[in-house]
Amino acid sequence: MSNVAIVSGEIPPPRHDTFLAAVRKGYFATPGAAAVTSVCLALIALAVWTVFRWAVLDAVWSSGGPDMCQQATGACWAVIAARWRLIFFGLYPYDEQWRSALACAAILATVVVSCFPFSWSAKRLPLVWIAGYGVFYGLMRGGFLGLPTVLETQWGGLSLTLFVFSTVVVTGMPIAVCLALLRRSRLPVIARTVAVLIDGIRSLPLVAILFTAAIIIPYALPHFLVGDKLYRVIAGFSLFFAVYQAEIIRGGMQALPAGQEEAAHALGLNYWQTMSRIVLPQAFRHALPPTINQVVITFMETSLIVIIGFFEVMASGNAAFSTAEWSATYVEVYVFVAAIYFAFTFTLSRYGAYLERRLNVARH
Amino acid sequence: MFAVLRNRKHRDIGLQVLFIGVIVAILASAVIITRRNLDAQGIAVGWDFLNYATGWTISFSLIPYDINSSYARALAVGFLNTLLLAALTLFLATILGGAIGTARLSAHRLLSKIALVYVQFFRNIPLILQAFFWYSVFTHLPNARNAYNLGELAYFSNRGFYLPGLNIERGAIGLAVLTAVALLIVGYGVRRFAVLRRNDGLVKLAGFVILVVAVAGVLSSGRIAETPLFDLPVQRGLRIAGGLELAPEFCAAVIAISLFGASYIAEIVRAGLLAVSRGKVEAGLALGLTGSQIFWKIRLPLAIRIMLPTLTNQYVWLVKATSIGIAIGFSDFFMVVANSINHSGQTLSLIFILIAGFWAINFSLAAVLNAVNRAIALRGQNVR
Repeated sequence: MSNVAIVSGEIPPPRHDTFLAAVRKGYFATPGAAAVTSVCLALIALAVWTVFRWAVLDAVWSSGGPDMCQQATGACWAVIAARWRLIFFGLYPYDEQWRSALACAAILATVVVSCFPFSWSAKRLPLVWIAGYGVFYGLMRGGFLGLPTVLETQWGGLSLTLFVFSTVVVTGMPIAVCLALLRRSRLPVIARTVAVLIDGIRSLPLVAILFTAAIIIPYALPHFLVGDKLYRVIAGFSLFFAVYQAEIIRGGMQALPAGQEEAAHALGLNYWQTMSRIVLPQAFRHALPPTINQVVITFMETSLIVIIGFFEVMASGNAAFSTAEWSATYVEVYVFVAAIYFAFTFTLSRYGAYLERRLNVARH
Repeated sequence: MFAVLRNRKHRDIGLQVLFIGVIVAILASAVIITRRNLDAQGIAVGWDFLNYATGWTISFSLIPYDINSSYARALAVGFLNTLLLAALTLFLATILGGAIGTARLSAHRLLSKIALVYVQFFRNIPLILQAFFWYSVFTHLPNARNAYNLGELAYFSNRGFYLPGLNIERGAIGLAVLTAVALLIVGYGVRRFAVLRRNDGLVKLAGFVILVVAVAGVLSSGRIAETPLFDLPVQRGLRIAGGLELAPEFCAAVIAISLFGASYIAEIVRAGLLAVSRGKVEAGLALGLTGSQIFWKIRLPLAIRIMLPTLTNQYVWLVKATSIGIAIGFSDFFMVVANSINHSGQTLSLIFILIAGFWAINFSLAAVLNAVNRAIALRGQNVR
C-alpha cells in the first residue's frame, strides 16, 4: 500500500510508534541505554520501596502517642495529628482558630479568582484583591460583630505566611510599576538614581534587608513613624520584591516596539494616558511568565522571616517537634511543611507554564 | 515665576533638583536621627570599635580567631566564610546543575524524567526549609563512638564530618589556590600568541606541568614538620581526632544551597542547550563527528555563550543565598555583622560594612563574568 501512496504523489500518513516500539526507542535504544535503564529502575524501585515502607507500612498513624513512635521503625504521623493546629495557626487563640482557617481560605480564593482571565482588568484585579484582603484582615484581627480582637503579635503559622506573602505582593506591585517608570524616565538624573537604587538593593541578601527593617530602622525613624515590627518587615520585603519586579516590568516595556509609544504621542495622548492605556498593559502581558516566577519565589522566601523571629509556618514547624516527646520526628514535620509549600509553588508554577503556552498561541 | 515653569527645559531641571533634594533629605535625616539615638544610648558613632576585642566566639573560622580578637578580625572571618561557602556551592551547583540540565534533554527517557523530578522537587521547596532539614539530619547522626565510617577514612557523626585532610598550613593552601587561578589566567592570556598556537598540544602540556609544579611547590612549603602528608581522622573513645573537621552547620549549608542552586542552574543549562540552533548540530553530524564530540565541541561551547548572562544573575543570587547560614548557625558574613550589631550597638557603621561587603562580592563577581562574556563572545551574525 505504501508504495502506491508514494507513486501517486500523496503524502503518507505520519507513522506512530506502537507502545512497545516507543519504549524500545526511549529506554532500550542501545545496550548502554538498556544498562542505564535497568540500573535506574533498580535504584528507583529501592527508593520507592524504602520510602513506602517508612511512610506507610511501618508508620504510626494518628492513634499512637509519642511512646508508640519510639518503638516504630517508620514514620510517626501522630506528630502531625497532634500538632497540626500549631503548624497551621501558630499561637492564634484556640477557640478562634476557625477564623484563621476561613481567612486563609479567603486569601486562597482571591489568588484563584485572580488567576482566571476574566479578572485581568485594571479595575477588577485591584477590586478582587482589596475585597479578599479586607475579608482576611477583618477575620484575623476581629474586633467587630462580637469577634474578639486578636493582635498581629498572636498571628502565626500558615495564616501569617499568607498574610506576609499577599501584603508583599499587593503593596510591592504598585511600587514596582513606579520604579520601572522612574528608571525609564526621560530625565537622566532621576533614571540614574533609581537605577543605582534598584541595583544596590538587588545585590543585598533579603535576610539583610529584613534584619535592617526589624532592628535598624527604629533607630533611623522619628518615633511616630516606627510602627509595628511586622509591618516594618513587610515594608522592607515589599521594597525587595518591588526592585526585582521593576526589572521584570522594565523588560516587558523594552519588548514593546517603539512605534506603540510614538503612535500614542501622535494621537495626542499625554504621558499618563500613554503609560496606563498603551505601554503598561502590553508590558504586563509580556512580563507575565517571569512575574509568576517571581511571585513563586517570593512565596518561598516568606519563610526567611523566621530568622527575624516571626512564627510563620516554617517556625511553627520547628516548634512542632521541639518538645522532648516529639524531638525525633523532625523528618515527618519537615515533610509535612515541605508538602504545604510544594502544593502552592508547584501549582503556581504549573499555572505560569500554562499561561506562557496560552500567550505564545496568541502571538502566532 | 510661572513663565520659568512653562519652559519644559526649566521644568525638567527643577524636577530633577527636587528629586535629588528629597532623597538627600531622607538620607540625611535618617543619619542624623540614628546618630542622635545612638548618642542617647552612649554609643559613639565611628570606626574605633573595630579595634576592640569582641568577647564572643565564632564556631567556624579559616584564620586564627578567639574572644580577644578585634571586631575587624571577626568581620574578616565572616567575610572569608561567606567567600568559602559561596565558592564551594557555586562550584558544586554548577557541576550538578550542568549534569542535570543535560540529562533533561537526554534521548534516554528515564534519565530526562529523573532530571525533571529533581528540578521540580528541589526548586519548589524553600531553601531555608532544606537547610533546616539537612541540619537536623546531620545533628541526629550517631555520636562519635558509633559514627558511620567509610573504610576508616572518613567518619560521619552528630558533631560533624571528619574527612582525610592534609598536614599543610591553611595559609599555604589558600596561596596554592590563588597561584593556580593566577596561572590559569596568565595561561589563557598567553595562548593568544601565534607562536604558541602553532604548538597548542605542547603548550598545553607545558602549562599543565608548570601548574602542577608550582602548586606542589607552594603546598610543600607549608608542610607541618614531622607529620605524615595525609592527616586521617581516628576514633578515640568519645571523640574523633585529626583529619579535616567539618561542622554540621557548614555541611548542611553547603549541601542545601548546592542542591537548591543546581535545580535552577539545570533549567538555565537546559534553556541554553535548546537555544543552540539545530543547523549547527546537523553540521557536526554531516562532518561525521560522534555524539560526544558534537556535545563537547559544538553544543556546549555555543550554549555557554548563550547562558552566561542568565548564569551571572543566578550566581549573584546564590552568593546572596549563603546568608541563610544564620538560620542554622553558620558564621557567615551576615551572621557576624548581626552579632556585632547586637554586641556593640554600632548600627550605622556595621550596616555600612554589610552593604559594602555584599556589593564588593556581587559587583566583582558580575564584573568578572561579564568580562568573560565579552572575551568569549563570537563576532558576527548567526553564530548561535
